[in-house]
Amino acid sequence: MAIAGSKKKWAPRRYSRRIFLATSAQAKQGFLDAHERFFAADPRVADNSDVHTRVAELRRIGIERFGMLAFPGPKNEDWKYTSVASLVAADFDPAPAARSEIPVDRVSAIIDAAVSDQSAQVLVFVDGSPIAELSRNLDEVDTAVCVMSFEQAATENPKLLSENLGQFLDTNAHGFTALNSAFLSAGAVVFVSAGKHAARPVHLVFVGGVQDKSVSHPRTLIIAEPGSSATVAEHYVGLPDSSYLANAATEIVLGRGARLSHCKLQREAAGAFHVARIQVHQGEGSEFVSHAVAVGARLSRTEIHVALDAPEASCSLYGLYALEGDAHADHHTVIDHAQPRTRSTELYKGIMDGRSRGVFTGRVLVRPDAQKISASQSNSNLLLGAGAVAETRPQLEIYADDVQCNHGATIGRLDEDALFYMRQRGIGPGPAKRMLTLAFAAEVTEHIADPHLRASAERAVHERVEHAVLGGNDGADAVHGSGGVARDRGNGGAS
Amino acid sequence: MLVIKDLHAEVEGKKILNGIDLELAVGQVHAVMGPNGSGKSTLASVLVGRELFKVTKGSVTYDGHNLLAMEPEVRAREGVFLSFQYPVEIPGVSTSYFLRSALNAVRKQRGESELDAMDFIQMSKEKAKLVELPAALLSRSINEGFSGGEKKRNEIFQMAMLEPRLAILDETDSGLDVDALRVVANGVNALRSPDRAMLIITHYQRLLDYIVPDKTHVLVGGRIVKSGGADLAREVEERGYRWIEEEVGAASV
Ligand SMILES: Nc1ncnc2c1ncn2[C@@H]1O[C@H](COP(=O)(O)OP(=O)(O)OP(=O)(O)O)[C@@H](O)[C@H]1O
Ligand SMILES: [Mg+2]
Repeated sequence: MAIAGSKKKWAPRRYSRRIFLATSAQAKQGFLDAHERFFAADPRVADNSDVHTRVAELRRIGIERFGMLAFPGPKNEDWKYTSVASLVAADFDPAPAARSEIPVDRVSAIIDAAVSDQSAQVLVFVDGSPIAELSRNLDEVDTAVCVMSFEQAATENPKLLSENLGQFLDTNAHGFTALNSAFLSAGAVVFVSAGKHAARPVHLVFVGGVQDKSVSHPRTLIIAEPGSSATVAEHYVGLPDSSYLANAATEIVLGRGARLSHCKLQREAAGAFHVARIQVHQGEGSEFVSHAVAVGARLSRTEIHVALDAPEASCSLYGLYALEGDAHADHHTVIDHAQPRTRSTELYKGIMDGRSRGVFTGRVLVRPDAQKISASQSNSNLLLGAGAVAETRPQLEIYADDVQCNHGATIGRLDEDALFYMRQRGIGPGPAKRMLTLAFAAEVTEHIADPHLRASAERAVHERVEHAVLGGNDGADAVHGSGGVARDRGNGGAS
Repeated sequence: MLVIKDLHAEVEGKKILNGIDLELAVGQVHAVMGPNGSGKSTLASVLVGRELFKVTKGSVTYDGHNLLAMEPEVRAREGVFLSFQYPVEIPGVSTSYFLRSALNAVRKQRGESELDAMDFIQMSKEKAKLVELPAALLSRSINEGFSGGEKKRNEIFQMAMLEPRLAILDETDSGLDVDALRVVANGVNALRSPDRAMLIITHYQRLLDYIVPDKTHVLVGGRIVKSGGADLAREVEERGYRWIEEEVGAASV
């Protein structure tokens, strides 16, 4: 289902496909060359040989796969609504960014804005490299949760890395995930000890664009041992006026009965490109809660793959994207009900202003033996701008018979009756639109349990909405100015 | 205060109002009655500036100003209030947050200072009592899941908070039980003042037993076909509209 605010629909034309293939091949070659140059010197993640062997193997597999898969083109069904043409044409420097002078004040301010909780544990990466001086409270002894860079993990708990890294990540999916493995060098490990409850969230902050045109491949491994519980947040931010690519991959493993709340806040710079894949493997009776908030980047793609691979495992996926201008955000979720009595709920919402485009794909797979499962999915989209577009694709594949599944998708504009009601009470159209839009968004963010995280997610969305609704761009008038809107709502019982 | 002259309006190309003339002086209460579909709500919508309804002819002045030229929120801030026939539900926006924003917008226009949260709570508690609206409803989303009667009480509660100069009540009595009707009518009566004018749209005499109007108008086919005193409402209640329509029909032959 797709409803475009404007008549003009984006369609790849023949000649642009040829250009895409040429540019894509060129970009691919750039990465292959850089890989050879950089890893010929064989830079080690650590001196620990087990870890090094594992990393080297993942890199080798990664670059091989990338060589075969390359960047997803317009013929790739999973990327039907997301063109990476602008990404491959962006002329990034594919070599891992050398550690450069960091503008500490600017970067610190960005980190502070992302994580307001001063006493929280924060591990910071800049252009892909862990920066101890910007990280906070990591040496604090917490018996429940341990946050480390790969370097640290290699000395402190090498087995953790060598046995788990790359265990579940599907590098066959497409070139980006393969590329992340190919350029594997630094990353974050979060380890929650069996039966322990981490009281406070752990924050990983990935800052991009300190070097313009740089590419980073953030990699995260989260292991929640049996019976443990924790909250982990991944913040993606960047220097405001730079262009860069963050190509992230996260592997999450939940042991039996573990509970993990994962919060991804994508607030990249407006000119940035962001691709992320989160792969989750759940044990029996475990509970995974995901929040994916996207308000930044020129082009972003977030993939969440959850394998409910043991009975009674459950997951809840919440997502919110708020876009303006020409931004494009794609959320692609896959929930695999591989075992009986597994449960999933999914709530994604999009707010699109200007000529932005929000894409949601929700694939739910129920395998033949996965009886007595329940799955519910909902995606609603609010179009603010006259040229804004929402694409929503529920994909339910059900091969078992004793299941409870439902899904719903909507694409609409602000309720004209509600807007008028508010204006009749003296509230101007701008503030009225803002109130309605934020109420729409709050139905997602209110599910974030941690108050600090909820507040920063809300702040991110408020800023975006404030800008979109009151910023005076074409979206602001489109809502009540265009005749088409009134017609949409005309049967809504205007009195 | 309100002068409507030869007002014509249409919705989606359909003529609904066909020349309304009405003068409402400050301090007065006028009742507007009329059969279903005669254009009562349309008149109210035009007065508050709903874009859906296009004025094709005529004028409306409010305190000497051209009301039709003002944006809906400007009219509201200038003291025009409509109690909607069908109050809309707005999920996710709390009644108190919404109303505080509204009140502060109106107060700003009046040159009054913004009300802080404490003063607002104090004031809303008082006014909620007036229409016996449970205070718990204020923290809920606007009208969401409110009963029909609660929605109507919420409208009058908001009117009490905003203290408009011109209040238009569109079938505020519909769907109320006997006790609620008395409560709402008392609430409205308490707001009756020499500084305020009211236009009360209703189908029933019941409400007008409590709020005795200075004048009654009967709207048929988008035109005021008969005006009279409080007695006219009683007559309509007893005899319906047919006789008026016949009277008008006969006169126009
Ligand atoms: N949004 C609209 N689109 C099309 N026609 C409309 C619309 N709103 C009102 N009308 C029509 O205008 C006419 C007058 O409607 P209005 O609501 O003003 O009547 P009313 O006198 O208030 O009736 P009631 O007593 O039933 O409330 C009706 O024929 C109605 O169907
Ligand atoms: Mg009506």
